[in-house]
Amino acid sequence: MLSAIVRFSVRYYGIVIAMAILLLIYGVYRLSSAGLDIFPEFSPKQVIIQTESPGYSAEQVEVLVTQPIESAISGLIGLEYLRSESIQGLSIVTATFEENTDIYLNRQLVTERLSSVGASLPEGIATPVPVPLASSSATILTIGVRSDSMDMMELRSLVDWTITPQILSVSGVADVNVFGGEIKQLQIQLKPEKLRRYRLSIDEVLNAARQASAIKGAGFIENDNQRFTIQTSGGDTKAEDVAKVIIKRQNGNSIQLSDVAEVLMAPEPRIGAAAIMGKPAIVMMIIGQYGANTLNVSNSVEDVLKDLEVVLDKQDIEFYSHLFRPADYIERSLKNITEHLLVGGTFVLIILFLFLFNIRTAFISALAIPLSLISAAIVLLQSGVNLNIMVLGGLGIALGEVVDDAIIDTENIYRRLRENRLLAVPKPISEVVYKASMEVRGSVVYASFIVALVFVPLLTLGGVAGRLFSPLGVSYILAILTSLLVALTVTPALCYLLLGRNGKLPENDPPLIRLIHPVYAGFLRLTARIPTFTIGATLLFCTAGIAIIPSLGARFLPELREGHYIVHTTAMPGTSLEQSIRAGNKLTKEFLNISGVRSVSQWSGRAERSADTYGSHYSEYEVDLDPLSGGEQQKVLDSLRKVLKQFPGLLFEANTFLIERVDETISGYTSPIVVNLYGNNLGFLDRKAQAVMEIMRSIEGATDVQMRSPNGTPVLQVRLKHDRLNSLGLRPVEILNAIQIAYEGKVVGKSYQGNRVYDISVIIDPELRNKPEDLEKLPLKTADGLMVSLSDVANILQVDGRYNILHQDAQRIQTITCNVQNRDMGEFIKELKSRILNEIEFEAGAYPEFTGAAIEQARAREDLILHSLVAAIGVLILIYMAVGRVRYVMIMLLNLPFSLVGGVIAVLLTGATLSVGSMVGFVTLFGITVRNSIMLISHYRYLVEEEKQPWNIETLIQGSKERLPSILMTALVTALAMLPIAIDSDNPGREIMGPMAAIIIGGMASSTILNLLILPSIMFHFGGFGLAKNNPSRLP
Amino acid sequence: MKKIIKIILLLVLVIAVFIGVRQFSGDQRFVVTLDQWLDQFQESDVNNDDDNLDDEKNNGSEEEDDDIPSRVEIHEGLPAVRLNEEVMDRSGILTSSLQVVSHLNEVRATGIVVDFQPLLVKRTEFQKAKTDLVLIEESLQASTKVYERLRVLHKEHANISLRQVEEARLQMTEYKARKIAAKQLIKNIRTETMQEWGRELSIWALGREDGKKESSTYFDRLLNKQDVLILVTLPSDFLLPEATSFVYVNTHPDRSTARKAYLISPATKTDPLTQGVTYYFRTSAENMRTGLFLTGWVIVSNEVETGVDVPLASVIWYGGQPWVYVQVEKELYSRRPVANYRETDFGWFIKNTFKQDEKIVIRGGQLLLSEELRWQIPDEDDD
Repeated sequence: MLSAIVRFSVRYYGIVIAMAILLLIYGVYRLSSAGLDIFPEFSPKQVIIQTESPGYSAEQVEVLVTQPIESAISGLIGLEYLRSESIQGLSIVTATFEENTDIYLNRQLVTERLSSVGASLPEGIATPVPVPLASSSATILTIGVRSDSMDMMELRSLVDWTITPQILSVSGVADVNVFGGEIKQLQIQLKPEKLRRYRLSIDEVLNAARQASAIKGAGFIENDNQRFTIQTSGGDTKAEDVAKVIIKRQNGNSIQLSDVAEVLMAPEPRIGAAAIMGKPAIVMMIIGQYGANTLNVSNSVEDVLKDLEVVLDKQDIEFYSHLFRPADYIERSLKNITEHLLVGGTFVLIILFLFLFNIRTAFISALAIPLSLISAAIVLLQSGVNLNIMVLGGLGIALGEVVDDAIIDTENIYRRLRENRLLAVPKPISEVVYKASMEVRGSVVYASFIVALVFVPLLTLGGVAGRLFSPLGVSYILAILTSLLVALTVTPALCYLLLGRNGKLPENDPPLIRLIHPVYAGFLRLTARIPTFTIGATLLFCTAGIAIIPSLGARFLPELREGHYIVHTTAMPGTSLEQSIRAGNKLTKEFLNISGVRSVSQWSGRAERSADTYGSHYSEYEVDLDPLSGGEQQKVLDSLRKVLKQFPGLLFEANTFLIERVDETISGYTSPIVVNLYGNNLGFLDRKAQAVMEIMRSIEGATDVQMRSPNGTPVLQVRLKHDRLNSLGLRPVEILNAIQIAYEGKVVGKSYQGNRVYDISVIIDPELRNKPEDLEKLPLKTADGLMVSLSDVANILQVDGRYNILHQDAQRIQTITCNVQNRDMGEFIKELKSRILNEIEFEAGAYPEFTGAAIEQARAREDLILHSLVAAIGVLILIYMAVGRVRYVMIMLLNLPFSLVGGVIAVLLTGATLSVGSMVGFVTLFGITVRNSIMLISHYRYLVEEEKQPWNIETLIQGSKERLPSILMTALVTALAMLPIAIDSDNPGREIMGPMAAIIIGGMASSTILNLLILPSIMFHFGGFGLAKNNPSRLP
Repeated sequence: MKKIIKIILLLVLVIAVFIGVRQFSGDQRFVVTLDQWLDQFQESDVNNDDDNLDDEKNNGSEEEDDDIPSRVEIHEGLPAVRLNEEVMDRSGILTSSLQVVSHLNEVRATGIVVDFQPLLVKRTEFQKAKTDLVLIEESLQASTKVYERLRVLHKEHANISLRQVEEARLQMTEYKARKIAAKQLIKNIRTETMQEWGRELSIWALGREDGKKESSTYFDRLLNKQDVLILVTLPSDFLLPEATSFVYVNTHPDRSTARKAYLISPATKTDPLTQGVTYYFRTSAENMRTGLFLTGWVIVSNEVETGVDVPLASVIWYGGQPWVYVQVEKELYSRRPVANYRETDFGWFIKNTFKQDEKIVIRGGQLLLSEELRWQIPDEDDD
């Protein structure tokens, strides 16, 4: 089949070249209109259901909201696991589906089940809704507004009614999370003293308020001629009108709402707050849709914002259009990668010209780069994949290799054409080109498949790692395969056209080759003469290199230089928004003193509609930097951490946005030891968790023992005195209603102001909401019209409650985690298990689960090893098919440690750590070096078996010399193409590829030495070509 | 055979690439869960950081807050947080010295300026009844005299008929009856007034029962609108201390500008709204109008209590009770429980807990609590 392709390409070279040109033009067009993203979608298939449950405590939310939702959706097809978190006023249920399910179908199934749950939830609880389907990196843009002249309520109205709708209309925007400001309401603020004076219950006021804001349709009248629509008015909803609504008549006088309450526009109780540059502000986080393209959406949003900016400026509103813009990173990365491609491409051209000393051959080889990369990109785009940093990374590291097949092909054709010209009767050019192409087919085809196959374990990685890195592997494999196709079609066609038919070929080797050949021959003679020393030195070198590996640090992703940092701080649950913002202002001031920090914005708590369960104790800061180099960005990060470390009472993390998002996506605790306690009784779970903590602490080696859902949130517990209620004729629900209305507020209608709609709400006087001790004075009216206080019918206690209640697979869970130091992990787990099971008694339905990173890692490692083994077997089979003998396969496996050593040295020299990217580097490296070995060994075989030369030192030198240009060229081209990325890799766009590039360059150096100097010596002594005569494997 | 193997391998590769592309485009067909592999990377990263902080530069997402040395130490058996002045200043934690202040032991009450027009009506009724009585008595006296004269004349066979005598007697008897009725009316008015307004006010309005003249200076002040009448309602289950002669009242809940109101007498009814005991007081009428609601302060004992006024912002609730952070040493702050407090306009008045000039944290106490209980802060991003 391959020979047919090559023959077709030589024969119909015109068609092939025309197709290639067409492909290039189409590719350039497609790429120019393609979108760009940072990362591929790395989140698991999740549907997050959010239910606002205003006023309900964590325990109430769990029982009344979370449990019914969990019951409704558990059992859905494809549901992998179900987790939930119930906090004060909010339920978040996260349903994670299997990776092979359709996210939209999952959402539909969930929505169908939820439709029946909504009706059964208690009054006042919002309908459970799946949060908008957002992209993994979520944030498209963070912007903000601030004003000295406009109050926060007006500003928030402007954001909610003018800015947000315009942004939401942009295609690709999933949602806008708005933090801070004050949401305007028409509030009826109750004055308890006045309620007492007029002997009114809170409920009576509420009913009157409800009637104040009713709007009803009125039908129509129709006569023989016309139809008249009836429109009723009078249900006015202005503050002054609402204030006049009569609650009741008493002694001939009307009691109006204004007699017992203040009616005015006021802010609703906050769930979040924000600040920009240390001043109160509104921060808007624009969330991208699932699969939306960050760069395109950013640009579209900015177009909309440009128009708004003018309007805002006129209203004396400061507009911050650039608090965080992930697209900056994409643009900078793209610029850096483009530069790298240009510099790398130039290096490739220089090397090709130096080695081939012929512009035409250099052109033919170099053309393989754009052709292969563009073809791969087209395939990806046609598969519906956005280009992102990982895809570009895959194409970037393939840059040096896609040219290799073409080089090998061109160089061989070029050499054979020159040799043909020297023959007495030259063969037809088409035959020479065809034969020369087929001669190297083995190394080209097998090596390409080997390179592709070693990448397969990467594609089978699960979880975030798999989702992040498989696009890199896929794009790399595609580039390699398309380069193979180019080498089999376009290269022979162009060679035939440019070198054969019209070319003037020099008689001698290119000057550089002529210069290298004698030196190389000398080296070969030397190494062949001292095989023991050569092999000994090789083994020593490999052992030393491998010994270094355990000392290298490892991490998932390298530090990304996004020009932006996300800092988040967590204080004790129960910390007020006021305190969080106050602390934030202090931190902001310190951050802004750090050189290079451009802007700092902060938000605390959470936004409506977001899937976050952060309380008022949690703050996140967007620290945007001036354009800085990687090193300078690191300095800023160090300074940020230094400031944060000095600040008391806060847990913190400072990371780049993408690392932060990846961290958030990883589910489960990252501690090595995790003990999950399942059960129904929260009190029991708490007691047992305490016991587990004590056991853990007493075991040698345990550090950082932590309970994950501890009590500690200040709670005011109101316990009704039922005997008092009976004697006073009060029903419990009346008390609960009164408390809810007073402290959470109750929406009783809508107030229309133009096209803006505001809630009308009844709530207690804001001054009284600040004092916990005033709760007991809440007035209540008995059935006999007697006014009593809450303290008369209830005991009010301040207790430490839960901030959250966690569920896993619909079961209550309490988790205890710890680290282990200076002790064998296995032993520790064994002792912990046996002591917990022996010393703690669990009631029916409660049980412990021992898990954690340490246990999971072992399981994961087994999977990874299994996949690698399968791929390794595949690679060995391919090598065997390429070289024909097990002995050669074994010799070629020497490549593995040798290339590894070079890579390890490169890691050491660049001071990098091992990351998933490093693994990709090693995998690539192995593929390339194996190809060079195949090329060398198959050529020896060709000389011995086809040209019937005796296997001696001269044949060895001839074979090696003839393969020297290809091997050296491919190695140099690959290394030099990578060089711009490897140097100064700590910069945007190069962080992930940089370590790979360094490893590839290091490994290329060591493996090229092996291939060119040591492998021939080993082959000379252990090749055993004399024994291979009867081998059925034939070379072309 | 070899060709078949080659074809199979090619197929395997093609399938692998296909799977990859599908996975990439968000619809994966097979996946091996290796999330934890990530954790392995992360954990090794964390461990590196623990071992060598200088490596931070090369590692990134370490648990940065885990390596902060604890600022909590034990002071006199209690946990205390050590923070230097610079950190205090940077984090916005403010302290203030306490001053010992003296407060009377008071309880709050509510009051209302009472319309005493109904009392005046009673007084008018009473006075009219009294006048009527006098008139009736005069008429009785005259009719008695007429009867006596006619009876004597009739007995002496003067020209007086029996009928005339009987008519005079009937006239006299009628006046007697009217006198009794008038007296009863006066008694009734007095009783009603006492029932409604209490003994003291009824005496002020109607005079004493025995007819002794009572000084009506206070009543005159009420009549002249120099004073107003106030009904003060005490909290339920609380009685006015015996020695109380005055309370403080104000139209706003501001104790500092409150004025004195002088006790008149206990009122006769309990407040139906609050079930509290009620008393009548009088106070200067300046800016007081009938129906105005007032806040009152009743001195429970005349002993002056000494303690400190603590602003509400310094109070932290934890573990079921309120606490205040106190500077126990230079740069060392410890939590102190607050057992007995009373609300005042300045916050809380606390006895026997703090000393003169002791420094307490008046802003940022929650940060100190957070630092002290750092181990209890849930790591939000670790789940």
